[in-house]
Amino acid sequence: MTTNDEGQRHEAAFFTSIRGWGMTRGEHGVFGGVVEGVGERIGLDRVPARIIAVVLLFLTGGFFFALYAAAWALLPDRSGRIIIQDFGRGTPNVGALIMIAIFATIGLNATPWSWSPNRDWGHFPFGGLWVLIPLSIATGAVVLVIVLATRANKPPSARGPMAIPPQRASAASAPTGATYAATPGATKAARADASSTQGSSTAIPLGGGAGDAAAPNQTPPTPPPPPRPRTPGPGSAIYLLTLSAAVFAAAAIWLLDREGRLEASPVVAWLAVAVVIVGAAIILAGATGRRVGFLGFLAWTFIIGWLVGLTVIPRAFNFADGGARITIDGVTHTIGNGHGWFDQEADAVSCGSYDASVAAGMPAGTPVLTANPSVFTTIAGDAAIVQIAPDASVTFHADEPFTGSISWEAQNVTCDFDRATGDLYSALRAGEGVIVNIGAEHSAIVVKEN
Amino acid sequence: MSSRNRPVVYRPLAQRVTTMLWGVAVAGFGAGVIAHLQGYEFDVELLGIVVLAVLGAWILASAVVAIIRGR
Repeated sequence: MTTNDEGQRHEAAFFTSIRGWGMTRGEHGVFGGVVEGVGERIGLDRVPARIIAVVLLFLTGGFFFALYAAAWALLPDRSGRIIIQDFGRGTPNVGALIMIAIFATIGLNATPWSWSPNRDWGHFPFGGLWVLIPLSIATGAVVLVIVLATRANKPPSARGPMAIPPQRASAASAPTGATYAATPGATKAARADASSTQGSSTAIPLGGGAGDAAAPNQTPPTPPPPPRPRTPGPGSAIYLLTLSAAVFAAAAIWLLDREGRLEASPVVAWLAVAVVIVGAAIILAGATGRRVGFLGFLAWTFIIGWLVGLTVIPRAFNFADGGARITIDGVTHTIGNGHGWFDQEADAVSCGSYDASVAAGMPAGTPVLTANPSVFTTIAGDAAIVQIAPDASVTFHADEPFTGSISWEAQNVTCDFDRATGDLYSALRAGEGVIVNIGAEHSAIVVKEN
Repeated sequence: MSSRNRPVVYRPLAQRVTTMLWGVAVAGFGAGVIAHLQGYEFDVELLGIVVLAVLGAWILASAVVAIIRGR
């Protein structure tokens, strides 16, 4: 439950803007009441709104989950609480946050661009352009909601015959009271009232305006409530400390890179160190009894960015000098210099300096193979040659479907097993050899001793 | 009244601990990313199990604290 004073709490303009949409989550929803709230805002009952939501879920190929997660996190409930804002204020709704994270993960995994290396784009009309279809549907749904919500804001006389009945709109906005106006119309009216009456916080009914200002039954002004105490944010000292650590980290990483002791790209390495720095700053803010403020936003930005980068978007980043990846028994290992790629399916191979040799005739940075476990041999020794000898029907994943064996005969990829890490390193050093499951549907990869 | 004129109250111990745990989680995530970039392979399933167990313990601790406070 919020009070008027809480309603007047200082908040980022971003959240104020969201509240201005007048769209609140419903109270009877199964998952946060998003569908109920949005449906109510645009004049739909719960049941048809849910049916439309399920249809959208199928039409957008699961991407709907991502939109739902965003709406759940950002839309206020009937008492004006915004999940993500409360989280930033240090009063998180853990259950809702977990569900939002699950929905977001499902939704982002279902994004049209999160294609897997095994997907054959040739089956779809217009090649990769098919991804525009679910995106267009999702965009269209969002635009439709905005248009309908905007339409519902207009006074009844300005709406057409399909307008929402005023009593219904009033009922929808009633529970929010004066704390967080449920509709932009009410917000604007309240602002106008505030500017004319020097801060009265009386609720203004939907559709109210000049007529209300002239109403005879005005309540006498009540004394302002005592100021609520505030918890300070991190403050300039912690922010400057954080910035200082980030700058020092940049210098140290640059130095390591200059000396060739850095495995990953300097920028990527700095982004990883920055997460630790932000975490340390949050600990400092917590220890001194402060809010995390902007640090919380930074932390989530980094975490979500890294999770998306590491798991959702395959081959999103090119880790120059970060080591190539090889899949052994379903586990992807970093095995050498060159260009490594994230392998979402843990079944592709990019090994060594294929930019110069293997990928001759193909765009630089092209992911190498679509793979099914098919080849098995034993690696022994510190270095080996991976020979790729595809037949004519091997499929490569490039920007467009690419089929053929052009320029792939007799191409060797040299993997520097000196720099092997993890299980591969242990196995090599133990002299046990490693079973290598690499391969493509119609190709053979042979790992030989150098 | 601007927020600067409002009295300042720092958070109580319980909220401080929660914030610090959140900071530890963020820093731990960053450390994990660094380890991954260095070539360390995580057992994702085991990681998920550990995260769930820690989350359960956290919620359980919160429940215990709530019960104690309610007395």
